[in-house]
Amino acid sequence: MALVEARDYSFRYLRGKEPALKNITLDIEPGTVVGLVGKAGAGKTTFLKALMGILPHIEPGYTEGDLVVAGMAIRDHDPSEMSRLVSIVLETPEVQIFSLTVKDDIAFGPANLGLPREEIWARVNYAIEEADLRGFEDRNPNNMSGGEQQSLAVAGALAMRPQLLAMDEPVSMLDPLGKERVMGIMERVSKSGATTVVSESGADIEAIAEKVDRVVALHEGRILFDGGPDALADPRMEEIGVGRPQVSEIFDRLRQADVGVQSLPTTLDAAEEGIRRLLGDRKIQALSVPPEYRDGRGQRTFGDIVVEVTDLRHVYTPNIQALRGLSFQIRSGEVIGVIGQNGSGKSTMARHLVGLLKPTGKTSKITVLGSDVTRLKMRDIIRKINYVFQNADDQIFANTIREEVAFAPEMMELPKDEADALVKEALETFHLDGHEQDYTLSLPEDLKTYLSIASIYPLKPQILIIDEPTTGLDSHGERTMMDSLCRLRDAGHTLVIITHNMKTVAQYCDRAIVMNKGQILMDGAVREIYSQPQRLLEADLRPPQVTRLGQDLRDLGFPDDVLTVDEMARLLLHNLQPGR
Amino acid sequence: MARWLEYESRETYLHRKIHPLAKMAIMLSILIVSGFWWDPRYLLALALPLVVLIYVSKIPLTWFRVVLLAMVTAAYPVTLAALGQTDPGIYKVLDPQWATTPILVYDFPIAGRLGITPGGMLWMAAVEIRTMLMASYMFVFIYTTSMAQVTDTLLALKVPNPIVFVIAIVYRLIPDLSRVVENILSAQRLRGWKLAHWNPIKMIRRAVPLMNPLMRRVAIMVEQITLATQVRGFGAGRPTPTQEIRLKAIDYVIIAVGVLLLTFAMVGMFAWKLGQI
Repeated sequence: MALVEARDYSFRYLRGKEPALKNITLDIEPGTVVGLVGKAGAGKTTFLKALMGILPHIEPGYTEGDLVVAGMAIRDHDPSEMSRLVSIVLETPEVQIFSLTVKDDIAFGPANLGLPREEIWARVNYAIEEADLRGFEDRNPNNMSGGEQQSLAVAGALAMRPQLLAMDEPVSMLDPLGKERVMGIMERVSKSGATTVVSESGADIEAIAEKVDRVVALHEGRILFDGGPDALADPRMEEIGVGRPQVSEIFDRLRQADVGVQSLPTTLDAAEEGIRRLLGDRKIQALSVPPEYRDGRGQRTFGDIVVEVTDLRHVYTPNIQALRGLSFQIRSGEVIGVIGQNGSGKSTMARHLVGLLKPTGKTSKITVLGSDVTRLKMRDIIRKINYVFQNADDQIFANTIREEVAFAPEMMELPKDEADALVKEALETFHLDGHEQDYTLSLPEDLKTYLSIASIYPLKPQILIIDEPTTGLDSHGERTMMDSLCRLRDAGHTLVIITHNMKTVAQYCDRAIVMNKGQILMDGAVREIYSQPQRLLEADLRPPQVTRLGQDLRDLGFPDDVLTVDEMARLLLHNLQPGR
Repeated sequence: MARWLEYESRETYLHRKIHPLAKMAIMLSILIVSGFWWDPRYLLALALPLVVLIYVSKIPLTWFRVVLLAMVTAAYPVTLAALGQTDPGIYKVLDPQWATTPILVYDFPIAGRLGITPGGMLWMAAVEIRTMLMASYMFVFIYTTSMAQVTDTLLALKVPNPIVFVIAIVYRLIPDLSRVVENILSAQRLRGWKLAHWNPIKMIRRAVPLMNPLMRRVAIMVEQITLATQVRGFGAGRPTPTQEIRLKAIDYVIIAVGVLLLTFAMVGMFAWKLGQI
């Protein structure tokens, strides 16, 4: 008997014009790992919430059809009842972590079920083992990395001993090793017999592809297709804005070129095997990506030094050193990706560059466009360099988009004509023209991110630091966002992008700064950084799938520094079609 | 490192050896007593154990910047109120004539006599010291007592679930709020915002970019925490305290000291006007 049975299930939020889920019919068998894919707004989170009974009991709305989990009809059981059968892990770990020590947090759920004390602690121990949190029992979750926090959130869910584990984009905020850690837990849990439904909107499709044994694609609230893991390579994944694993895209190019590719792999291992089969014993003629196959980044030239940081140190308390002597320069026109796991000092460094924090080191020095930031007034700093926070909700306050964008010019007391012109330019640059009078409260995630950048733009800072610009966006949204940022670059701005997304850095950045434990571990061209996987591992990072594919095929002469699907596809075609 | 108003798991005597119930009892006693006493000398005596507790608990001293800020912020309204302490009838221990000796006093048409008097200055000092005591003792309690210990204790004391739930939410929310406020202030400063303005009406208007996102974030956080608790079984039944309440000798001694202090202060206040001015 299926664990989940949905029959013509539809749901419309109380204030929604259209149903968020439309006629969903599917069965989920016990012990399977189901990947629920779709772009932002496709209905994934709604479906996961429905499985838990959050809909309609906490978030009310109109339901049609039936949704039954383990024999319990959702409409008759609220989340506290369903919590004995279903656990949900949300996208943001800190939201679901409730207590201030790891063991207390894991115990929170079982204690709520009124279980005997011995049973509670037995479950805590089980969850600590499963989630690989031994040794963390007394740690404050706030001092743990993103991957560890999400492991804790999963442990909290596992301690409920659920038959069904629902995970809503559980790895989107994590560094690569954090993603692997959480995916590893998911795999162990499914092997122990629990059923898992994990949602994904595209950025981490490669991580999902390695673990799922069934794929359900949602589009505009409906099931578009439903199949095995190979369904992730379906071209319709591009059409619905989710995108495919990089290895699937490479093989699709090969298939189109008619070089004997029959099926599209979705995992790294399958792709490696496929390439070895295609090449036979042949080695390819390239130890690095030949210049003709590289994108244009290598040829870009940069201007003068606009930021110079020397021995930047920051100590919060005598025993917590957030920054340990950073030194680097930024040249005009560069696009720099700052990567590193949570707590590595990325945001602390950014706060220093814009004068929100003062260095505690006596020899620390930060010069921006020739001026010592520590001696400048904030009003002078923000017109030279500015910083867009990750969470747009920390910033947006006005009723309408126009008011929000007009705020900075108003604060700077710019003349009305100049302010109006700047606001208009900002709205156009970030695709917000036509939305001027939209209410900020009801904006979707991508527009919120655009708005937060657009509201800084009228200050015309030459250097812009943007924290996680693509988090929460699907593949399509991510591309549009990064294209907008590239236009800023082309207009002469220097960009510093703080991100967890290794693909974004590979595709759009000229240079990467890798931070680890308050220090710069690596600093250089992205190609050079990604070609050193062992050093990246020290910061819990891994290059993107396409780079790893090249590195895994090193024995066949593949270069270590492939950055994009385009490069790999061209390289392969060159070797598979030597005459063409 | 713990954020402001956040428990931190540490190996101190206060963290590990003293039961939350004992801590609650002694701190409640001190807070109640400090509320009754008006003599700054008595109130300062209550600060002595505080110094010891701060040292033993290893609480970050940076937390107390906020206490200073609270005292400075409170100074303005407290001073205004102190100016009104010119009625000889309110002084029970001090010589009323001395206490109301005008240092700088003026008779206003409607408000009556307002101004600086020795009694008013003592009154002001008492309020400031009390503010410091209440905040600091609360900080020590929060820093050394985890949410699970607090909820377990309350559950064991048969406090109703909804009340325990609200306390737990507050305990969880306040440290997060301090981070949110800091982020909002930073984000707005980066757009040229500043709160200060000579015109009070403009200053109130300028608070909107702080208050709007803050209220929105609080609403979102409350919603998220409510959801997070419900999906983890809150409301499914009476929760089990994860730790058994087991008081040791030292806990009984501390509770007894708290009760004695409270009794002594109450009796002393009514019988001998102890701690009054």
